[in-house]
Amino acid sequence: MIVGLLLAAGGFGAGVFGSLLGLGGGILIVPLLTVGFGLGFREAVGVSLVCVIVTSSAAAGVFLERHVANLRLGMLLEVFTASGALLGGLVAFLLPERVLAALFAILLAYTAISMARRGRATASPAAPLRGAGSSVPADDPPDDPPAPTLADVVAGPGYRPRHLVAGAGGSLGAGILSALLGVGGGIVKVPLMHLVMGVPLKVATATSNLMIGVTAAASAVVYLLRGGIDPYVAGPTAVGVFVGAMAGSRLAARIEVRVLRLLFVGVIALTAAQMTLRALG
Amino acid sequence: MSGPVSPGAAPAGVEARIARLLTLGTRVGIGLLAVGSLLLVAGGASPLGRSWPRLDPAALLADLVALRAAAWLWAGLIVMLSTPLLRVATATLGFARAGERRMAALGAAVLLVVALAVAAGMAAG
Repeated sequence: MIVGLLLAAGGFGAGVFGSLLGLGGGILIVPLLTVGFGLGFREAVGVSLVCVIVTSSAAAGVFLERHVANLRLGMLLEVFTASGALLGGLVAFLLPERVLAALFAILLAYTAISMARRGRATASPAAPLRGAGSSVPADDPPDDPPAPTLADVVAGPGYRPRHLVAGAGGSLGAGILSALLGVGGGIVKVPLMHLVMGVPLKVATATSNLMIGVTAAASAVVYLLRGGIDPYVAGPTAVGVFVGAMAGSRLAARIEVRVLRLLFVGVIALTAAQMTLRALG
Repeated sequence: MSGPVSPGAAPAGVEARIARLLTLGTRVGIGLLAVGSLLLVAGGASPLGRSWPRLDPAALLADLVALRAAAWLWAGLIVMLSTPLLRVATATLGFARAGERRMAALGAAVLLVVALAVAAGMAAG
């Protein structure tokens, strides 16, 4: 009985932290379940994917209502994240757990460094919207305007994503990462959309969140059908994550996130060290 | 040929429909998981260190009625995993109705990848 409550409490903590720091929660749940509760790595990944879907679905609805997420861009990149997730979901059952733990340790170290340096990075300017500031004079419109390109179709107000091929490749990688390590992959997708594709940060964050649910679902299906998701662990943890994420969104305005971020960097660096030890056996 | 394109905007009503679907799916899924978790905790058994029953769709309804924790948890998991996929299906349908073939094709491609994931999972499981 107590273990079930502890799982819910752990999920709650991960949900609060994830919500306050803009993370999906997977980066916290896998260490929580492996280091904290002694679960196998693959089993923890299966549970984490469910939790990631919960937080994504809950937040994505709000982002769409507020017209912050770019549904078109999300659907384009989802083709690649879902393909990556399918691939990763199959490969995950072939790799030794020590290799997965080593990969997770690298991801944690990368996340700690990114969070410590957050705010310094600047985005490359977005490509102008087609027609805006173009060389075609406004009083001399072409008789037969060209068909919109894919970049035009997925453009948003004031921006037109660039480097779609790089975006597709990065999304494929993010999908593989998500399936192998049980994370949402926002740590890859947000910088990819913002810095490489020139999508505004707020839109990139919301669109990444929208995509996470489908990406995680594609690999979670493989885990589920292969018996890789423990419902007894997933249930209490997912409920805790959901309640924690809601509490975190209400606390966000009252908490000094800078201090929290520094604390988080310390915790995550320590967890990276523990994961490295696990990988080394 | 694709339909008219307004930068960033999905066809009228699609985003609102999807937002409602995501909210409803999350609430129902979490509700089922919460009931399953309560039944699990009330049963006094530890969730750790025990083998878990495989999903048996044929027995799911009877097990739900019998208030078996695993059935409520499986039902919650199925709803949670289905919610993002229903979101893609809703968007795909919305774009198809608006005559935006390119966007509808992208949505169909995502659903095809998920169908492949189901097939791969079933073949390997």
